[in-house]
Amino acid sequence: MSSRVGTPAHFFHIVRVEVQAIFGRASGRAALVLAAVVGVGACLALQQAQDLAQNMTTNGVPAGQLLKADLPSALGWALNGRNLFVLPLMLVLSAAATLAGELSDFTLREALVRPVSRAQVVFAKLLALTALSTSSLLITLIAALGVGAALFGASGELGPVMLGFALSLPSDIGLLCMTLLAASLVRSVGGVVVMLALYLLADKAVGAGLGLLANFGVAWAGQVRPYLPGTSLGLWADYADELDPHKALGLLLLTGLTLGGTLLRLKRMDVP
Amino acid sequence: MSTPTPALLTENLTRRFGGRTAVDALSLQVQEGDVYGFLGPNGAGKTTAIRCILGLIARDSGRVSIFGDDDPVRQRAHVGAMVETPHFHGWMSARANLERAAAFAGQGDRADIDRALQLTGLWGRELEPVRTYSLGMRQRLGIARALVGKPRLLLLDEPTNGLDPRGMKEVRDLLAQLARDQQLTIFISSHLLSEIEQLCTRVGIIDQGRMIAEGQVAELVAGRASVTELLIDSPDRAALSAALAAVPGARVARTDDDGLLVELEGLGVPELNAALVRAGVAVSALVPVHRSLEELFLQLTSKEIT
Repeated sequence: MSSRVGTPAHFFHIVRVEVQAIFGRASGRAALVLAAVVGVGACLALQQAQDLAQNMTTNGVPAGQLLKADLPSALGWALNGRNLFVLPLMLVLSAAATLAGELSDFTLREALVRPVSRAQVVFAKLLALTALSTSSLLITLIAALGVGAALFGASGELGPVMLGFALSLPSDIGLLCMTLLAASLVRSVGGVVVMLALYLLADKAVGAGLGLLANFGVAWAGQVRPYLPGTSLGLWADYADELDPHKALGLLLLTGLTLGGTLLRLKRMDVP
Repeated sequence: MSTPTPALLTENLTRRFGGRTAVDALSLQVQEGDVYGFLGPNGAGKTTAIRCILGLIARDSGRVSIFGDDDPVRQRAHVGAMVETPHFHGWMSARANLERAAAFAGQGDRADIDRALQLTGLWGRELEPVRTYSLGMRQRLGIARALVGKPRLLLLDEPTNGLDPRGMKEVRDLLAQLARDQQLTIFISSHLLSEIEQLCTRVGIIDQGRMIAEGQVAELVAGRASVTELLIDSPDRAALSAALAAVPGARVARTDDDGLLVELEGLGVPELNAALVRAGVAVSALVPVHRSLEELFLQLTSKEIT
């Protein structure tokens, strides 16, 4: 038996068991199931809306003309549905369970008595969480592609919405890093969810205030707004329009700073 | 002749929590092959010291070396540890938990895990979720996990905690077997002194974070090699006391219901007996005293054992 300590193979094996743990928890399994439900449900909801719109008019215009019911629209609905409340919440729960949960139930200690650095453990957990995010995105995409093509046909320009799916991954990673930082601070899964919810509410309020100031001609308010975490996490939503480079930079900064904060916090922490 | 590299060495290991010093300049040395008992009353700093050694908590000062390796991450490659009550992913099977441990250890394969399960008597139950395990089974699984990765040094903090007498004996026998057959060095913290006395070759006793005694169990228990302790009694205690006071090299250390505890220094038991007979004292009991580790521990720490 040869030692793998300190080799890339050692890190790979740690990532592998982290993937097993994250995908095996209730939050991980729920994220994957919900991802499929969202993909299928969005297509069915679009078809239902199309049926309802047949008999409705808006300002004398048949509503059916205002509602596009094709494959790109179905994917757009699936993407919006996926990135609304539930899937991000599942990712937050998974990230909180893997760090705050393991700190509070003392299982992180069992890993840290082994020849691994705390940074290695954080990176392994982040990679495993990224695998969960990627899997959930792919499941939603595949489910929506299959059901959408069956219901609406396989025509339409898919490029922009595919970009939206691709941009969801860095948005998820940003959210995961924020969650890991919160987990290293409060050490309880419930506490992490409450902390993030409160922060994002405050972020929304600040964003709204900055938007108001920008409308009144305060130039810096408009420049600062894309860098707010709550705004930059919505980078994926720009897929139909022009991408905002400030939002992208804001997301990069958010990811880097929260990841760095997590590493620093964990390095100094007395592990219970 | 070169000195062998200690399996575990700490030098002036210190950790403070606010104004309280939990581990105070702790220096200890565990040689390869030792079964080292780490004793101390509750709150003496045993677990804090073990956490410092394992890098779970930062140390304020001092040095830890394991098999000559000072690197805090790399040195843990030599160690299998169980700190306090072992914790597991309860929804995973015992085998999955051990596979996880092997992955973090960076060494250990299926055969290694099988061996750990067999040694701890969990073979056949390894696919059951750990949440269904009894306390004793979890404790044994904790030891199995410490064994994964083929460590050279086992660091066990209260490994028989919560076990019934049969379970405690099983764990004790297992550790003795590991030390004997696998040539493992074992560092075991406990407040169960009889357990340590039966199992360990060397002990260190700490109190208030400080090492107050360290050495071979037999040597520590025997105390000063030049001093013999005797319990002597007579129907006439006053005559006995007077006779002893007249014998050079004999000193009455304590008087209790069973007689007088007498320390002899530079004087043999036959000579003392002859002196008492010459003095006309009727001796009803003359018993050599063998101190137990428990008595030594109580004497050193002056605290009740819990």
